Amino acid sequence: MTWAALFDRATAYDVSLEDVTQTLSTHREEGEE
Amino acid sequence: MTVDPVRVVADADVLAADLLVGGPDREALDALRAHSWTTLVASDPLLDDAETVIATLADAELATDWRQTVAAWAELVDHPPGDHPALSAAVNGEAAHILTHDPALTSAETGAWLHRFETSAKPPAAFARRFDPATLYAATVGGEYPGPDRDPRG
Repeated sequence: MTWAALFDRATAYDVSLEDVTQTLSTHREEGEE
Repeated sequence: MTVDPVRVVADADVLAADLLVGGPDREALDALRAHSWTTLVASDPLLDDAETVIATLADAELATDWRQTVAAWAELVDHPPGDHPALSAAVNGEAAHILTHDPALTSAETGAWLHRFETSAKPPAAFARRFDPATLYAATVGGEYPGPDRDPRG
């Protein structure tokens, strides 16, 4: 799948950088427990 | 140990933001996608983290398709389980740059530790701003920079 197609599909979601960093932080904290 | 200035690790936040947010994260990775003589270094645990973020904030099918595409592009390296994926991928993959939004990785303390491995962590916007393909091409490939040689959306 091309990057263009992936980016096009991703536009369906309203995601902020803060959403990304918070989700990753939570995921990694859960992995440490 | 000699790191390669065109080998770059993107932490899972940058990988996911490249897909879901755009902005400086995509600009930074576009610089790599557009130049075949650069290398995105990653590891399976690093891609696992990004895939989880994408599946959580978007959907599992998009995350799976993203994983296949990024795995075909990146050079995957092994590292000990339990290591921080971005740090260990950079150290074991001899990468000069770690792109991350994690303030713990861009702190002075971590920076001093990373300096021993000739690598450094920086936000993607800083990497994109400083990326100088002509200078890097001359230093690593040699000769006159021919311009981007790959479609960053391909």
